[in-house]
Amino acid sequence: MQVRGRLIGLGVGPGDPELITLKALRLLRESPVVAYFVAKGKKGNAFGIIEDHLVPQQTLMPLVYPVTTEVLPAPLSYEQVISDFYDNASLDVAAHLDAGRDVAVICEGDPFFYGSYMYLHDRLAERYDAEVIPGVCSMLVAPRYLARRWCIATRACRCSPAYCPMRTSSAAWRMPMPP
Amino acid sequence: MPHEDLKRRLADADAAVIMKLGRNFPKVRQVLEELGLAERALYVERATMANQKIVPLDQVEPMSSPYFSLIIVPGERWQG
Repeated sequence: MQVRGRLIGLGVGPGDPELITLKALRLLRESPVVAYFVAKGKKGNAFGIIEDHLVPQQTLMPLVYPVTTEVLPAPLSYEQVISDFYDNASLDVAAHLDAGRDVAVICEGDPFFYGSYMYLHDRLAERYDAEVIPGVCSMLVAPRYLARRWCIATRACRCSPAYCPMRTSSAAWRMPMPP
Repeated sequence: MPHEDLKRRLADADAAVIMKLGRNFPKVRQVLEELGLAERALYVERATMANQKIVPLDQVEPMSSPYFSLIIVPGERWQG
């Protein structure tokens, strides 16, 4: 039986190409398929960070968002359109995994910290081996620009997204709004 | 996140970061002003990318902030 490929959520850091981990770089170069989320007509932030590190023979797999922040005419809903998109993207990724090819899904920052990779992980990780490589996220970079320490000793820090849900507040945590 | 929710969450925190500002920047700045935190906060757009921008909150054009921007609020000065 064909050995199935691994799904790899690969954090590529916030933008500075030197803020990518050695492990992420190695797995990026070893992966026969490199997938990345991207808005229509854009190159993709994550892709821009790693493109100099790609090797020949790799299959590039842009996963193009059908919608980002635009308002959709009824009866289309953002939730349904984006959920269908992630369903289809996970099928495309699964086809490579079934054929024995590892798929690295690159992600700005960290895959499990507001990363789009999670939508594929949720759909595939129960059926395929999945590995998540952490990345430096913008939140960890920002404190260095402060004139003072950010958070110290016993103090608690709070992290919140700013965006509002498009409809009901109960859906707030499930609403990605890619650039 | 609605204004009041955000205010309640931030009022509880020692230090904070508010991510994915986009068009919500004016609301977040308003909340921070109401809590007296705006002055020590910093706006960071596209951190470490070639076109990054780092300025105090009063220098941000209200509707110009992209999705990839955040506000970081340091905790109070504390001797430790």
